[in-house]
Amino acid sequence: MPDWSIKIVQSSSGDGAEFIPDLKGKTAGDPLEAMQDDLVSWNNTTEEEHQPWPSDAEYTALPNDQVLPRGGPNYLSDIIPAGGSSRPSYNVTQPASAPTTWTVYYICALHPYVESERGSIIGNTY
Amino acid sequence: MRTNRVILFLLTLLLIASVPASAQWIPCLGDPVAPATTWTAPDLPTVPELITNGGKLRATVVLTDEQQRLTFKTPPGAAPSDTNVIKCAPQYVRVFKGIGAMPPIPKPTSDYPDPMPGPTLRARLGDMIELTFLNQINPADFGDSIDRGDVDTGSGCDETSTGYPKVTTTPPQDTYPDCFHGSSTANIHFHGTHTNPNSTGDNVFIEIRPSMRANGKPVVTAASVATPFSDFFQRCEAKLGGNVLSLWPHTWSDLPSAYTTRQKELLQKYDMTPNIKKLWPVDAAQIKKGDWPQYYMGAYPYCYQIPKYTDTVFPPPGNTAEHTGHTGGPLSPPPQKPLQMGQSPGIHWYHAHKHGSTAIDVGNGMTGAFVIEGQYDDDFDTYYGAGWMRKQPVLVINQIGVTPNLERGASARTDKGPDFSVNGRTRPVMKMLPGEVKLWRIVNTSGRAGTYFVGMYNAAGQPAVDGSGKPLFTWYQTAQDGVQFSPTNYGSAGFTNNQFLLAAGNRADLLVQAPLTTGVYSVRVMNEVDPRDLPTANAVTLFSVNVTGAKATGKTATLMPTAPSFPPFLHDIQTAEVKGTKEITFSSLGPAGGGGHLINHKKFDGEVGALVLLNTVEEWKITNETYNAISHPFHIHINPFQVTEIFDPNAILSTTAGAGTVTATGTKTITGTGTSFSSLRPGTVLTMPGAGPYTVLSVQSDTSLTLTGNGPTVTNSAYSINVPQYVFVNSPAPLAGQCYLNPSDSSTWKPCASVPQPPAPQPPSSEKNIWWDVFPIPSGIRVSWAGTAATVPIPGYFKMRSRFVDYSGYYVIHCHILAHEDRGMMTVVEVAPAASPYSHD
Repeated sequence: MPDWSIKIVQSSSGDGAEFIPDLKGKTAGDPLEAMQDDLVSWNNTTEEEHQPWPSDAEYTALPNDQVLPRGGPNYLSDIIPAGGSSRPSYNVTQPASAPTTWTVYYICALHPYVESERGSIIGNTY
Repeated sequence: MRTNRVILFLLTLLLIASVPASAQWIPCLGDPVAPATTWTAPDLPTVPELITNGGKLRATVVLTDEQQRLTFKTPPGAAPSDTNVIKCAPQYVRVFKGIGAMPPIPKPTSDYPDPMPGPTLRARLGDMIELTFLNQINPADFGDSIDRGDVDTGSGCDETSTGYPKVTTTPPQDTYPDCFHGSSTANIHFHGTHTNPNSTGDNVFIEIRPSMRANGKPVVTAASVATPFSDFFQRCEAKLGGNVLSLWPHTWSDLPSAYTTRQKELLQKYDMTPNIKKLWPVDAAQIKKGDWPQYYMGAYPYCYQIPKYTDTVFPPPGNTAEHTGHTGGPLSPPPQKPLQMGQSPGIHWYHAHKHGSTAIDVGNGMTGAFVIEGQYDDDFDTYYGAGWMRKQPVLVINQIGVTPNLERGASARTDKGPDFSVNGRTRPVMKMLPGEVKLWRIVNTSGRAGTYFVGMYNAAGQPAVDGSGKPLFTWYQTAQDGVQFSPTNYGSAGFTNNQFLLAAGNRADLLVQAPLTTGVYSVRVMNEVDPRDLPTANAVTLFSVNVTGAKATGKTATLMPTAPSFPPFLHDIQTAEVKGTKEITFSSLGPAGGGGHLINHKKFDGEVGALVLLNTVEEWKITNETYNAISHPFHIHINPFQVTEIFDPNAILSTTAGAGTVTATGTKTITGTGTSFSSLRPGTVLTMPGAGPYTVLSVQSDTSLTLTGNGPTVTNSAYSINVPQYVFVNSPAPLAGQCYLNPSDSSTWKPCASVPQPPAPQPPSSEKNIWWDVFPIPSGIRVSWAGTAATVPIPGYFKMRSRFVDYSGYYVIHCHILAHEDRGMMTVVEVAPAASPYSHD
C-alpha cells in the first residue's frame, strides 16, 4: 500500500523550515492523509538537521517514554541530515482504542519553538 | 498513574475528525471520480523501444525517480479478484527511461504519469550491446536506504517503525546483507542472455549508486560520460568483434581513465558522508587484487556481444578442445573451443538486480523487455510480411507497488502482492481484427507471483467457447523463456490452446488467432506461487481483447503452418553429454526460523555455492525443502536448461465436487451434511470456495472427519475433493493412476511411472524437450497421516540439465520471488576454465 513523502523545505519567511506533504497542491500546514500501515518518510531539502517528533494537539512534544524506543510505533524518525531522508520509515499506526480516523501531530525536536516546523498526519483504517 | 498517562496520551494524540476515511487518493486512469468504484479499462500502450542500428544497440538508459499514479486494491488483504475496488495514489517510484526511445510515452492524463516499463531493448544476434546506464535517482525522495550495512544508527538494513528488520528477535529475522537495503543503488541484469557474466557484461555483482547532486540535479550526466564511454565502446567493439568469446574488459584499467579517475573522486567524496561505511576502499582492494570493482557512482558502461551461432550442426566442427589436454604450461590459457550454444533469439528481459533491493526496485517498475531478433523473426516476417514481427505486442506483466509487505503493518499487506499490470496498466485492452493473428510476446516481470493462464472469457464472464466447447480463440505457444519451440512441438496438441504457468521471470510467445465474432474478451489468469493456490484462486482479468473492425484477410488471418527454423544448438541435451551432477536445496524456514530463505541451508554471503568447469554439461537436482505452499522459482543466469524430471509430492490427480455440504468452525473438525466422508482416505485434500487446501488426517464417519490443521469457518459450504497423485499409506490400495510412496523409505520419493514427465532425450539429436531459465521447484509435503511415529517431511524437486558453455566467470542462481532473493535465497555459480594437465592424444 502507499508510501508518502513529506518535504522539509526552507520556510517561505526565511526563518526555520516547513513541512509540506510532497503532493501537488499541498502547502505548509496541510496534513498528510494516509491509511493505516502506510509508510511515511521525510525528505530534508534544507541545509540544517531536523527530526520529526510526535506532539500533542497543541504541538507540545511528547515525552521520551511515550515515543521511544527508537523504531517503536510512535517513533517518527532519527535526526535527518541536511539533504537526507528519514530513518526509520514511519508506519502509520492506529493507536489502541482509537477511532477509525485519528491524527498524529508532530514538530521538529531540534527546533520545537519554531512554529512553522509543525505538521500532522491523518490516519484512517480500511 | 501509568494508565492515566496513556489515556491522556491517546486523547492528545487523537483527533476525531469530521473528514471521511480516506488517503490522498486521486482519480484513476479512465475513472473520473476518486476513489474509483468502477473501472473503465485503459488502452494497452506500446512500450517505447531502443532499437539496434548497424549491428550495435548503443543507447542510454536512465534510472530516475518520479511520482506516478499507481493502482491499489482495497482493502489490501482482499484476494485478487476483478470485483475488488481499485484506488489510485501518487507514489514515488524508481524507473528506467530510454533516451530517444520511440514511440514516446503517452502524455499523462493527470498531474501524475502512469507507470510504464523500461524501454524495450531490441537487438539482433551478433550485435554489440553498448548501453550507457545512468543512475539519477534522488534518494531523498524515499526513506533512507543504505548500502553497506552501516550500523552506527541502526540495523544496517532498511528500517520501519513496525520493527523491521527485527534484528534483535531470536532468531533475528533479517540481517545485513540479506535484508532489504540500498534501494536506490542499482544495476541491470539482462535476463535470458547468454553472454559474458563479468565486468561490463551481465554482471549483477556491481552496485551503481545514484549520482551525487548539486543544486538539486545529478552531477553525473549523459553529457559528462559521453566522451569516455564513446571511446570505451569503440575499444569494446574492437576487442569483442573478432572474438565473441572474449571476456574483455578484464580489469579496471581497461576502462577509460577519464571515467575511472572521476569515479574514484566521486566515491571518495561520497565516503566523506558521516556515519557510513566507505565504498572506495572496497573498490581499491578489489582493483589491487585484479578483481572487478563493485561500487560506482552515477554511471556505468555496459558492453557485451550477443553471440550468434553460425554452424549448421551441433556440436560445432572443431569441437575437440576438451580432448587436447593442457600443453601450453601451467599459466597458459586452455585451448578455446568454438562457440557452443549461441544466444537464442526471442523475448528476454532486463531488471534491477542489486542484492537487497531487487524486490522493491522491480516492484517499482525497474523492468523492461529485451527482444533479441534472429532467424525466428525472419521466418515469421517471411510468412506474414516484412516488418510484421516488430509490430507484435510486447506485454510486460508486473506487480507494481512500493515498499514490500514485510516492512509494514498487517492491515496494509497485500494478499498475493499487488494486482498484475500489463505495460503499466491495470486490465488494459488490446485491439485485434476478427480472425487476425498476432504474436503475443509475454514477459512476467513480477517479483512475486506467477500468472497461470486460464484462457479467454466472454463478456458474460464465461469461457469463450463455441457451442461444441471449442475455444473461440486459437493459440500456439511458440517459445518458452525466449527459446523457440522445435518443429516437433510447434502447433502440437500440448502447446495449442494450452493453459500454462508463467512463474515470476518466465516468458512465452503465443501465436494467437482472434475469433470471427466481435466483442470484448478477457484474458484471465490466476495468481500462483504454488499449484496449491489454484483450487481456490479467482480467474482475474490480465488484459482484454477488443475484437473489432473488418475481418482480417490473407496470411494474417492464418496461423503459420510450419515452425520457424530451429537452431541446431537447441537440440536436447543427451544423457551422454552429462559429465557431472549436483544437488541444490532451497528452503524457507518460516517465522519460527526467523523467516530465512536459504540455498544449501545458508543465506547469500557472496561465496561460491556451485563450481562447474567451463564447457561441461551437468545435471542438477533442485530440491525444495519448503513445506508450505511456495514453489520457489529457480533461476540461473547465462545458460538455459532443460527439465528432465519433476516430483511434486502435493500433485493432484483429480478433482470432483463433494456430495452434500460441510460446516467448520476454524478447528480441525469438519462436519458434513449429506456427505460420504467414509470414501475419503487420509491425505485427501479438501477445498471450499476461497478457502483451502485442507488435508484429511482421519475420517470418523460419513459426516465427520479431522484435518491435519485448523480448517476454515464455513457453514453448509460446497466443497471439492482433490485426490492426491501420491499416497503414503498402502492400504487401501492406491487408486488407478495414484503412486504409493513409502514415507519411511526416501528412495521411493520420486515420480512413479504413471506420472507424466518431460520427454526423454533421444540420441542423436532429439528436440522435443523445451528450454527454461526459470522453473518453479515443487514444494514439499509433511506427511502426518501415514502411521509413522513422527511427521515425515518429503521435499519436492526437479532435475535439470544445462550446458555450462562459452563463458567462464561468476554469476548466480536464486529464487525469483525477489523478496526471497534479497533476504538470502541466492548463491554464486563459478564457471571455471580448466584443462587437464595430461594429454592422451
